[in-house]
Amino acid sequence: MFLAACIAAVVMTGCKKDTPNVPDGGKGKFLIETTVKNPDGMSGSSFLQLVPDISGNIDNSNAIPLGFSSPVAVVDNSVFIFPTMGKDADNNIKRYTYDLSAQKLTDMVKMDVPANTMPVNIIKVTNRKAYVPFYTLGVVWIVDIETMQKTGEIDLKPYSHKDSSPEPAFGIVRDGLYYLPLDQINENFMPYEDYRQVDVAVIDTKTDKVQKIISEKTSKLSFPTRPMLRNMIFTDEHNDIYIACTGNFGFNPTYLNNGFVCIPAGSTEFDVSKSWDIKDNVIIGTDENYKPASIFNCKYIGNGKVAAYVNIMELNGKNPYTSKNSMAVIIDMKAKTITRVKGVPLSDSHSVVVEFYKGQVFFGAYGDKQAGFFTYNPADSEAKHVCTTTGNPIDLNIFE
Amino acid sequence: MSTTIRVIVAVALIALTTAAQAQTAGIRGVVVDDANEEPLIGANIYIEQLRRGDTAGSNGEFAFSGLAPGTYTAVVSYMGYHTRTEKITLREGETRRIKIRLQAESKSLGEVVVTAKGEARILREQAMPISVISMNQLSGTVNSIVDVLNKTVGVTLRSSGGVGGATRLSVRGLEGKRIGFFIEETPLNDNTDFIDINDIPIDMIDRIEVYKGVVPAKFGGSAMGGAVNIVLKEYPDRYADASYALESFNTHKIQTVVKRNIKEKGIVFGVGGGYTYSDNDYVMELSHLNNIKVKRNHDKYKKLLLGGSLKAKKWWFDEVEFEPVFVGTYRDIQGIETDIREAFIKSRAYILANTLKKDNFLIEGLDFDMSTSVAYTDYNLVDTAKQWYDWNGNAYPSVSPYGGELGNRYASDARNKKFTILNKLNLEYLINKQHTINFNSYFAFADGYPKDDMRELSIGKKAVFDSKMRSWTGGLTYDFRSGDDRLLNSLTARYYLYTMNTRSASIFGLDDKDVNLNKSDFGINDALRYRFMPDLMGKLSAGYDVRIPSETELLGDGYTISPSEALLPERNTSVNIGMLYDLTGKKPSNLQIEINGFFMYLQNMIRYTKGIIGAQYQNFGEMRTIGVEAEVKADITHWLYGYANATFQDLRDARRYEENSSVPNPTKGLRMPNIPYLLANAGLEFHTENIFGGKGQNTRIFADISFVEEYFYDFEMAAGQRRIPRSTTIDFGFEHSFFNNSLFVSGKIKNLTDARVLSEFNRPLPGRSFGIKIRYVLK
Repeated sequence: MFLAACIAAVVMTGCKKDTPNVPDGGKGKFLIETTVKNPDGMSGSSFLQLVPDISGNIDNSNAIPLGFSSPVAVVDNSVFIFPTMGKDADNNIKRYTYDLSAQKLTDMVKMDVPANTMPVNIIKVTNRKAYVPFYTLGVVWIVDIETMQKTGEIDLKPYSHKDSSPEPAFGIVRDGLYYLPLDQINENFMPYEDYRQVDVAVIDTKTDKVQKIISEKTSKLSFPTRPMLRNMIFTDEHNDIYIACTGNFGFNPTYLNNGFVCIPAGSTEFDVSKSWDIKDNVIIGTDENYKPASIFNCKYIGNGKVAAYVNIMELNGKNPYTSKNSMAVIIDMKAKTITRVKGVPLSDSHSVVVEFYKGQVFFGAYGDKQAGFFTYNPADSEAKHVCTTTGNPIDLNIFE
Repeated sequence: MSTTIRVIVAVALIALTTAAQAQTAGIRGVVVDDANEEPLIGANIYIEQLRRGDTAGSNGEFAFSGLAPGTYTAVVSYMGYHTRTEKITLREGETRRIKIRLQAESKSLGEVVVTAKGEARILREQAMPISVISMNQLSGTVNSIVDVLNKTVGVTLRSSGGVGGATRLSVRGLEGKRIGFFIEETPLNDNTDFIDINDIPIDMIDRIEVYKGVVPAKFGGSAMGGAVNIVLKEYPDRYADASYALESFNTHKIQTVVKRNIKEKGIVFGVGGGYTYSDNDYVMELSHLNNIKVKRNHDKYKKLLLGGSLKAKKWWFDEVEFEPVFVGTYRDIQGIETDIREAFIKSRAYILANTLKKDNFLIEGLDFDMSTSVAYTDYNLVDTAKQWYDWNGNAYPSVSPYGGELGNRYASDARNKKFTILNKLNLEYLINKQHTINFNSYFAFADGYPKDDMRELSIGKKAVFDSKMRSWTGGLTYDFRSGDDRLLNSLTARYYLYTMNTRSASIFGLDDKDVNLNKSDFGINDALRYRFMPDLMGKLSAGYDVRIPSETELLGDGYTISPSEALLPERNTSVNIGMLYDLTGKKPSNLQIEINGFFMYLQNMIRYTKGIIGAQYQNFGEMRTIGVEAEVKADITHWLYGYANATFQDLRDARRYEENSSVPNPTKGLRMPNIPYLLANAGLEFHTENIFGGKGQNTRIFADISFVEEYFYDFEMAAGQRRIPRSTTIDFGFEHSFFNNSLFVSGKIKNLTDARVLSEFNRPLPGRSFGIKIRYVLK
């Protein structure tokens, strides 16, 4: 046995371990990201893959593995993958190219970034120029998308409240100006108690200079856009910019303000008359008369309506990472009503996907009985469960 | 470097070839019980002609070397046994192997009770199935306890860096606070985290006991799943021991112990201590940064350990001991993700310990053993750098205007003061040779006074609060030994009580609230051993054990870990079954073969979690473990010893559903991430006497190989997921002693092939390193 053990040790040392092949990420026009949480709910792995349609069962065996909840952004046919938050991160931004004809991801290129600085999204300005905000660094990198090189930097640190970064979140370009919301958060990643307002940096895309910081202090809303969610800032049919404000994520019973602020078309200032704090609106269709304690994600679907996930404070439970506290709703900006979408289960806060495609709203949910994607036609009364995922669905992009 | 290695290998080979020609006489032997062949640990062997003696080690073995040819008289004695005298004649170059069988004393009418109880007391020491690593065997071949435990089957040490880096014990995949760490049966990992496993000077250790599966009640605290107990040496009447070691990365270790016995007064004085310094400036490869190589530049470590001892043997008790101890530590904090340049930790601990022991306490057959320690600790973390740096040398402002480079979003200048009292009482009543009852009580009292003005300034409010913790663990053990000594059984029940009063800040930054905790629970386990044949025994144990969450888990650490006072206790159901074939002392090979299988099911597993909104411990899920481990060790020839062991531990997620849902858990049945599942060790040791001529010299040359199979970083669901790579490390070294084991010179190359070794979560560990040590023992 001793001899056998020695031989085994030598053999184990000598044989070469095969490096597993990295999957190609599948084929199709639907780009989905899923997350399989570790038991703690705060760590795990994410997976990115293309699928031909949102139906059936989708597992992760053919997906590209990513860091836990790595943000993904699509600009034209480029797919950008940003580092996950915290110490697990690869300190680079990866760019894949989506081959339209083959419907596959190809040609991965990397750009190094400093550690723990949270670059989480990218906004295209011109065909080659894009902005990448660094959430905890308080700067915006100007990037050549084609070469994946940094060409400049916009410093937002001087506009920070108390600390060194104003936490630039998810912006939008309108009329040559880049409207970049600033989250202004404290050490717990929550809004400062003494700074409950909405700041937006207005940046000239030609000069890359900050023109001004505009603030909405009347409504006491805060945390304008979550930095990795692209649809929480949008323009409507009138080219008015609306910004969804998350507030305190529903964790502070004494501060539940959340809702929308507006920068109307033709103006570079807030119109406070269009601000809407939704915290006191009873959600239609809930027997318990729940009210939204926070907007977790949303998507403008036209005609003054927003499909959204909102937090229900009463459902937060002991562990906010796994409790089913997120409700799918339709927010009518004109009628000022909020209605629960039947058929979409209460989801945990990892799965708050909302997309709109060909008249259908896609909700990604991780409920207590079902997980996957649900479609909802606003003309119908109920959503349908169309696809089961392995783990939490956390993002959906669709290539045309 | 390669030349150096070649030279060392050449020297080793020359040594091996010369060995066969240069032997002088010696005696190697083992002392056993005549009735059942049990080794008699601690038996005295005295050679009259030499006027020197030895004490039988953990397997009853002893050795005398460097003897001239002639006839010697060995007098062998042991409490409760008849003394025996043996004549041994040695020829030139001969090493005689002998087995000495001692007979239990006859039970004359007048002393029958005392003698029977004395014998039972000796036997009781072997009732629990444990693995014992004798330092007699390993001394000189290891630099630290980590080195020892890493060779032990089923045990791994999860290190985070070089000298002084945080080290966590893992037994069969269970780790952290589930695994008890004891010195002389006193728990160290609950509320006494100012001392690390590596702080104990290796030369002061007599043996290391490793408990796998169930943990006996005589150890206080709430270890579950395994325990490591360090037993310190009992020094002779006059003793001095000093050593100095120089190792790579500017590491220096000085250790000394002096003991003096005033026999007529029954008093023993002792002082000892150690100082360790290291720059830990090894090169590490950063996998998250395109595998660039950087030198660790902020990992300086300093530790001063001073201790004294006053032991009295005639103060009514059989033993009264007072031990003052000081431990001072300074440690820079090394960055991995970023280049940390200023943050550091400093701690000081002042401890006074007292031990009282008395056999036949108040009534016949009752043994009393109580230890009490009082400690004052002061822990200081400073993180006030106004800038932080990436590994390209770029500077960025700290998030808080008050500084901070550890990624906490606030500055810290924390001073945590804590006052701790620990009391452990063990009462053992020997009913007769077959039956023993043991009562154990362990009380811990800790008042914490944390203070962090800088953090308060950064976040604008108080974040750390005074705390009062009281815990009590009571255990009752009943031991049964069959008359023919085939069966040993030990049944243990334990009760845990824990209270805590403090305030806590919400993880989400809301208002503070009072925390008043009162938790209690119980556990039970049973262990038995059955001897099928004199050389073959089986072991079976089962446990339904509980672990009350620790103070840190419940209240956080005041810096980066938030409170989680609603944590439920962990519950572990375990079964262990094993066989041991043991020829120690019976055949020249001293062959030992051991194989164990184990099963564990852990519920309400407590895991450290780190998310966007701070970190905390949380109850999560269920995990099951199935494993097998095997070990073989033997004297292959009279000059070559070898060992090999392997552990397969398969830990898998056992949750059927996601929390509070009926959605199937996608990771059910998958292997738990970040825990190695296949480990193996093997080693050879060549030993000889007077290799260079002369007398009174011993030489050992050894090589160890350690293997850890590649394991998973995450739950593995797709190809191409990141993994923690396989590692194979080889250590090579020698020890040469002069003047009958008075002067030792040893050297060691760790990680001979300079293999890249990564610990959990891909933390980079040192590559090849060198160490040399000189030690003098005045006996």
